[in-house]
Amino acid sequence: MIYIMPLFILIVIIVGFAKNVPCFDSFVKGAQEGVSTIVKLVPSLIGLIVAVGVFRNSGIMDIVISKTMPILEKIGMDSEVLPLMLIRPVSGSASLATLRDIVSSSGPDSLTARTACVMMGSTETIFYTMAVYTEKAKIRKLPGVLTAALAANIISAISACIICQFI
Amino acid sequence: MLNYVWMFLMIVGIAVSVVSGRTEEIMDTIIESANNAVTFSIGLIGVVALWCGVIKILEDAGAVEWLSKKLKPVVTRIFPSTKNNPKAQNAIVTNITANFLGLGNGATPSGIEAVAEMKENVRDVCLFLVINSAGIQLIPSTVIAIRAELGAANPTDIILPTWIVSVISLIAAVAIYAVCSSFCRDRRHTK
Repeated sequence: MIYIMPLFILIVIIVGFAKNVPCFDSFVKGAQEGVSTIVKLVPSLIGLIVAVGVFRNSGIMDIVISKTMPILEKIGMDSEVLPLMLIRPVSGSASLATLRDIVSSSGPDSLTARTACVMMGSTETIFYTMAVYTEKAKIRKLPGVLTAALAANIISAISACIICQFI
Repeated sequence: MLNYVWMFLMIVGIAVSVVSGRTEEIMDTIIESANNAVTFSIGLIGVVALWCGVIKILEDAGAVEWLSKKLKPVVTRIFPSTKNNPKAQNAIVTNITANFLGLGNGATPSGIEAVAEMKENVRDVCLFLVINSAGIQLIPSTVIAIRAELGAANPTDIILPTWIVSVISLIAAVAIYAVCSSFCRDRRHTK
């Protein structure tokens, strides 16, 4: 798995070279977009990371987690990742803040942190996607989409917990 | 919606900590979190920008068009209503390709166009959104950036599990949607 990133970059540069792309110029242009995406995100991340921190350290999170632990463990889920599962469909930046909180509090190489990372990578902010994609077409009724997406979220949370134990 | 989430977290968090006598602790948390947020965001820039740069090379080499061409027959099968609508097909494949490569904002315009082109067929629009909800991505670059920033031993070790879980969640989403929509249709027929 360590090879994926370097190999991918190598292939990309070879393809770019073969297609006569000015690789470094393209790279800089793309990287610029990346920088401005993150910079634009900073204000919302400040607000959200503070909110997540306040919520966690108020002590209420421990109560919620200890109450839900028995139920969630029965279906094979880690209760630490519950906040991420709840916030993920709603907002990308809020789930980024939540993921940071989980990863830094339980250690980046812990099972909990890896599970949370996999969940983050395998789900989508479906509320946002639905709202933005359908706005222009003015479609109001989307039968079944939300049910399917949210149920799939739960399934991905459970399977992330299971799969991360083995890989 | 995020407005409510934010207010909820702040109000409940501060109120509970005041009631339980942790005011001092929460004061520290507020200041510390604000500072951490800045270091964290700045720390993400490196990997995210690197990745966007690499993907840009791929984009400029015509990868989106190439992948689109490969995906077209599949799209016709999944969304039969787009058979005679090349505009819709283009939008769908561009959207799926952009999401797959992790172009993020690059996927939004084609997503909007795809839905607008398919709006006569609600089933196809729904299926398109359901497929979108699984978030299949070649390299989950933001997550890798977070892991690198917070000091993981091997930030990329979540790639393989992420692929597996993405596929599981895609299959689950489509299956649940199929069950839901056939259930809805049955109910309508019996009325």
